Amino acid sequence: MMTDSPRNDGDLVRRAQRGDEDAFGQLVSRYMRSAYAVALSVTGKHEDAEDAAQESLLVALERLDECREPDRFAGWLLTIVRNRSRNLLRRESLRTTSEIPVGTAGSGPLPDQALSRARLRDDLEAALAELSEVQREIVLLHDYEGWKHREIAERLDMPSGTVRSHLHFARKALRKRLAPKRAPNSNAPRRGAADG
Amino acid sequence: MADRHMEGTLGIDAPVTELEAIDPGAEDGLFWARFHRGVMERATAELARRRDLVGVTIADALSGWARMVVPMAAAAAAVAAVALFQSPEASSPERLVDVLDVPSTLDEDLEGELMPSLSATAIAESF
Repeated sequence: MMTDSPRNDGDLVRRAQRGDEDAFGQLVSRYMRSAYAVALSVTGKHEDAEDAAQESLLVALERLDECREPDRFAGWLLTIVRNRSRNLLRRESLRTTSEIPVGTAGSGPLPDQALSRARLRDDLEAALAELSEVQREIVLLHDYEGWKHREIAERLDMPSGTVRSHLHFARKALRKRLAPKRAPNSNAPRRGAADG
Repeated sequence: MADRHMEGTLGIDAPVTELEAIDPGAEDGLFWARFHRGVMERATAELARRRDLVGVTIADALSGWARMVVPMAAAAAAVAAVALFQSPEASSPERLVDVLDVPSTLDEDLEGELMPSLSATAIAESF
């Protein structure tokens, strides 16, 4: 049984405005993944998305008094994330850093499982890159972060039907792009090896 | 998760569950804890500034209130003191009689006395 009901965003924002560290910490916990997802939808790169998401949370804290509707903090935050991500992209438009899976840089050959995960992530990022920014954002917020249609519609300030439509086309495009590359860990025998 | 599963069983597009692979925490279990800690460390100064601002604001309000109330209280005390000590005649019996609007017929009996008497003798003698 829960002894403390989770505070709503409005309460946390008002407390954070007064410098309450615990309240701001809870807001970060709630929205760091979705901030990352939106940043990734703009930048297309893990490292940039991580930087942009962190930077956006700090900018949100500095500008917290400008959040006119504390109960709608999520939508306001994601606007900041989007803008900061685009700024970062513009600043680093000539960056050519290759996609290195987290935790594997300089560690030598990857174990099979880690390698297949890294390849899947590369494929996913390439597939996401072929979507429009809004489709990426919506499919990440829904399928990756777990937001409901109504939450996305409210926080992105768009009709629910539009959200569903973007989600439908995003999923269709991703499946088409990923279909030949699915099941990297398949246990099916290799061709030519089983006949005998 | 349940919401997404329900959508699949209702014939709506099923979620692209492969997207979970882009989660940096899937490979690095401490990623999100580090991310959170990184944000909070960088937020320390701003949070402290906000707390200080709240403290200053309260102190300012209290001192401002005091600045307004203390002079007003002093002025009120001064006026009360002036009113209290200004006019000695205010306590004289004649003035009191005038203030109480005692009828002239009774006035005669009160002449020379400080307080009107309501004793039976006094009343009888007045008729």
